[in-house]
Amino acid sequence: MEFTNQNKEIFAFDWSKARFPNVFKMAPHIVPGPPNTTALEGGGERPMNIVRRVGRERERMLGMTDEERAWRKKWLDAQKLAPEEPVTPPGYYKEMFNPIRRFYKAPMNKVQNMMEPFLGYTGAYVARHVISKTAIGIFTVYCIFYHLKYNKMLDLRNDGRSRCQYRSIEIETRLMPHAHGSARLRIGNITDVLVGVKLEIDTPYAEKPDEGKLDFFVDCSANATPAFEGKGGDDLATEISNVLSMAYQTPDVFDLRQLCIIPHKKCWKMYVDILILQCGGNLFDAVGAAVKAALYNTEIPKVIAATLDGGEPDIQVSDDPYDCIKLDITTYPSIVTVCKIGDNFVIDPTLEEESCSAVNIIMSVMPNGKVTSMVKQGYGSLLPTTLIKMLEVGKDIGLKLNEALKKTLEEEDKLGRTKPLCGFLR
Amino acid sequence: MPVDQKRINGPESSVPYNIYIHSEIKNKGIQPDAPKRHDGRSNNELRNIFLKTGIISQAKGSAYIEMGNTKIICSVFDPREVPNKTGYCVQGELFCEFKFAPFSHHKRKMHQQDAEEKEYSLILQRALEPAVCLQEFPNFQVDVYATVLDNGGSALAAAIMAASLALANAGVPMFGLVTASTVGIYDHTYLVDPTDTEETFCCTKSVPGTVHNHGIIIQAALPQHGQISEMFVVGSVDTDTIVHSMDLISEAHKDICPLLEQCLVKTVFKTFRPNIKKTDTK
Amino acid sequence: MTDPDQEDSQGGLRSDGRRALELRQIRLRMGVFGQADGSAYIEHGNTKVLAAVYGPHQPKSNISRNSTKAFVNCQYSMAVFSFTSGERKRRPRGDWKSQERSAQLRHAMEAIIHLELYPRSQIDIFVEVLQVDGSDYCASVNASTLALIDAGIPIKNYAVGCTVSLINKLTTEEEEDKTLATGVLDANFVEECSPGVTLSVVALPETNNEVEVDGSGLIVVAHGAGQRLHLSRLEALKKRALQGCQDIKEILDGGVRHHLTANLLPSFLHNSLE
Repeated sequence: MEFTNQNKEIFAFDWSKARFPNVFKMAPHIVPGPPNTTALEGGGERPMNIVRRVGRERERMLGMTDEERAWRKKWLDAQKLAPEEPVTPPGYYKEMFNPIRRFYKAPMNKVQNMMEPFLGYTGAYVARHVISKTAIGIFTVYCIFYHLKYNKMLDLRNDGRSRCQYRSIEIETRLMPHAHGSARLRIGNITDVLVGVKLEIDTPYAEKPDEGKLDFFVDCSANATPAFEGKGGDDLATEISNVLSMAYQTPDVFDLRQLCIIPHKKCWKMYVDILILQCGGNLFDAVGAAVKAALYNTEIPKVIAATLDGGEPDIQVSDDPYDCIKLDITTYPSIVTVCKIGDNFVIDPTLEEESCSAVNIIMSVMPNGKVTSMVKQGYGSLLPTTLIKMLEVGKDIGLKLNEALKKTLEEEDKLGRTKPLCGFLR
Repeated sequence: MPVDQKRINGPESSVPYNIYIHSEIKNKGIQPDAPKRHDGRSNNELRNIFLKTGIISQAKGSAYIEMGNTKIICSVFDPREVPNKTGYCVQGELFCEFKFAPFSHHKRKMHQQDAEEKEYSLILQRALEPAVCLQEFPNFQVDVYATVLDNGGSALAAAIMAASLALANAGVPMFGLVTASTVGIYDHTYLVDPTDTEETFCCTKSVPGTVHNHGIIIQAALPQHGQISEMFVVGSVDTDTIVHSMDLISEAHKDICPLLEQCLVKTVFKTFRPNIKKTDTK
Repeated sequence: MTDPDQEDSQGGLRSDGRRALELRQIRLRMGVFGQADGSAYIEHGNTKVLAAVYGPHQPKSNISRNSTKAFVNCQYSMAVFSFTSGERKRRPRGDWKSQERSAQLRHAMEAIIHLELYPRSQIDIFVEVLQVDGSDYCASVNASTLALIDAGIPIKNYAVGCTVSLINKLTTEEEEDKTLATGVLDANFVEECSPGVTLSVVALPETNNEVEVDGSGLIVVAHGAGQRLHLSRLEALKKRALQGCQDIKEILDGGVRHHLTANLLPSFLHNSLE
C-alpha cells in the first residue's frame, strides 16, 4: 500500500465526511501547521500543505490576494464530492480494521449490503446497527436470567427441590397387628423407619406414683448399612432416643398420668420401639413423624375394673378389642432438622447434603408453635443471629409438617380397619 | 439396661426418703414472681464461681469449678490413637465423658452411664469441638472426663467451662475459650444459673394444659468470637422466649469469660514463678 | 398351646386348619431396599423377615484378608416388637439365640455361595425378623437366599429352609392318626411351642431329591421343647422335610423368575410373556 501521509489524511477525511453526510457532521479539517508525522514515519520529508496560509482564519482576516482567493475557491471546490465519489481505494477497509473486527463485522456487513437496495444506504446502516445491538442486548438479558435461575443462590437443590421442601413422605399405619400401634414411614423412597408400640403393665416410680412410663428404644438395623452391625449403631440409636424422650418429656406434650391405672401400684409402660431399616438422610424427622403416626393409632386396652384386693392390685381389661383408649396427638411435636449449608438453611437433607453441612439443628415443634427441645449437631459453631433465623425457619416448617401429618393420618384413619396392608410387598 | 457386673450395686428398687416429705415444704422458696430467689439472688445474678486448674497430677490438664453448690472436676489426657479405627481421618476427635458421681444427687446414681449422662456427654463434646483445633492432631483423640461431685444445678454448663479450662491447661490447641450458662424459664420469669431445685421446678410444671412457657436452655459459646457452639433446649418454650434468653445468656457470658481468662493467666504465672502465692479466682 | 386331643377331633387337620404337609402362604419381594446390594422380604404366613446383602467388599477384619475364599458374615436380629404374643423382646440381638442363629445362617449360606470366586473379600448378610410366628429361622434362610440372588452373587443352588415338627401325643397308642405323628411341615408358633420336636431343615433341593439324603449338602438344625427324638423317626422326618423344601423351592423360583421378568424386561414385553 503506497500512500503518502497526506493522501491518507485526505482519504480519511473525505471518506468519513462523504459516508455519513447527515449523521456525522465533521468540522472542516483545518490544520494549523503541517502535522508532525515524525513518529509515524520516522522522520523524512514534510509533506506540502495544500490549504496553505488561507487555511487559518486569522490569516484570511489579514487580507487575501486574488491569487489566494482563487486558490481558496479552488480548494473549497475541491472539497465538494463528485457523483462517483467517495472512492474507497482497494485495501482501505483491510487497513482500517484489524482482523478480529473484520471477522465479527463480516456477517452484519453482508446483511447491510443485502438491505441497501431496499432501505438506502443510511437506512441499511441504521438498521444494521439497531439489529446487532438489540441482539446483543437480548443475549445479555438471557445470560443474566439463566445465571440467576441456575445459580446456587437460587432456591434449587440437586434433586430439584427448593430449600424448604420435603421429599415425598409415605406413611402406612397399623401394618403390624401384633403391636398395639405401628407405623412405617419412608422419606423419598430411601429413609425407611418402622415403629411399633407395645404396652406392658408395670409399677410406677416411687417419686411419681400417679404417672405411667414412656420409653423410646431405637434399633439401628444392620440392613441400613453394614456400619450398624453389632454395636455399631448404638451411638446413633442413643442419640435418636434421647432426642425423642426430650421432645416428649414435658407434661404439655405427653401427660404420663393418662397411663396410670392404680396410683402407686400399677401403670402402663409404653414402649415405643423404632427400627431403622434404611437411612438416606434426615433420620430424625422421619423418626419423629413415624412415632407420631404410630402413637396416633395406638390403642390402649381399656381397664374396666381396677381394684385393690387386700393390697394386691387386680386389673381386668375389657374383653372387647374395639373398646380402647386412643391417644390425643394434637399436642405431640414433630421433629425438624434444619441443616446449614454455606449461608443457606436446608430442610430434609439427603445423605450427601448432611455430609456437607457443618451445623444442623434438631428441634421439636408442637402444633401450637412451641419448641419442646432443641439440640445442635455437627462440629461447627453459629452466630446468634443465624441461630435465631434457623429457629424461625424450623418453627415454620414444623408447624406445616404437623398440619400435613395430622391431615394425612386422619385421611388414612377414614379408610378404617379393613384397608389392605401392603407392608413391604409393594 | 446393661448390668454392671464389676461392682456390687445397691438394691435396684430403692426409694429416696425425701419423696415422702410433704410437697409444700419441698417447693418452699420458689415463687416465680418474688423479687429475690430462694438463695437471695436476683433473677439475672450468677452464683459465685471458683476456678482452679491443675489439680489432678496424673492428668495432662485438669480443672475444678465451683458454682454455688455445684462442684465439678474435669481432666484431660494426652492425645492417643483413636481405638478401633482402620482408616485415616484428617481431623482429630474429642472423646467426652460426663458422669455424675454416685453421691452427687439425692438419689444415688449408678456407676454406669445412664441415658441422661450419655446425652450430656454428647452435648459436652459438641460444645467443645468448635473450640478445639482438631486438624492439629489427625487420627488422634483427646479424652475429656468430667465428673460432677455435687449437683447443685447447672452442672452441664459448669462442666463445659471446666472442660474448656482443662483443655487449655493441657495445652491442647484451641481457637478460644468456651463459656456456658443455663437459663431456667418459668412462665415469664427467667432464672439465670438455676439451682437444682429451680431446675426441677422449671422442668416439671405444676399445671399441665396451660400455655405457660417452661423449660431449661443451656448455651455454650465462644465469647471471644461471638459464636454459639452448642444450644440445648428442653421443655416447652416459644421462639421469642428463646431469643430473649439468648440475650440474657450472652450477658452472662460476658461476665464469665474474664474469670476464665484470669484463671489461665494465673496458671501461667504459677508455672513460671512458683514462689508467687496463689490467690483464688473469685 | 395345642391340646393333643383337639387335633384328633379335627380329623387330621392342624390347629390352624392346615393339613400335615400343607405350607402357609408364602409371599415374597426382592429388591426392597435401594441402598443394599441385594435385599429381599419374605412372609411365611405371619412370619415376616427382611434380609439385606452387602458385598462382596474388602473385609473389615484382618483375619480374612489373606484367605482364598470369601468370608461370609451373618447377623440375625429380631425386632423388639416382633413377638406375636404380647411381650416385648429386651434386646434385638446379642443374646445366645440370635448368635446361634447367626452362626447357623452362616453355615447355610457358606454352603451355597461360590466362595472361591471371591478371595480376600467379605459378604455381609443381615437378617431382620419383623414378626415371629414359627419357622423364623427357615424364613430367614429363604430370605437370605433371595437377597443373594438379588445381589447377583453366584450361588450353587437355592438354600431352602423348612421346619418339620413332630407333634407328640402323650399317649403312646400307635393306631392314632399317623399323618400328624409323622411330622407336620412349616410349623407356626403354637406348634413350635407344643411338646414335640421341631426340626429346622435347610436343604439344597434338587441335588438331594434323587440322591436320598447325602449329608454334605444338607444342613439340619434341630431344636425342640426339650423332648428327645427317636432315631427311627429321623428318616421319615427327613423325607417330609425334603418334600417341603422342594415345594418351597418351587415357590421361591417362581418368585425370582417373576421378579426378573417384571423388573428387567421393558414393560411392553410383559404382556407377551404372560
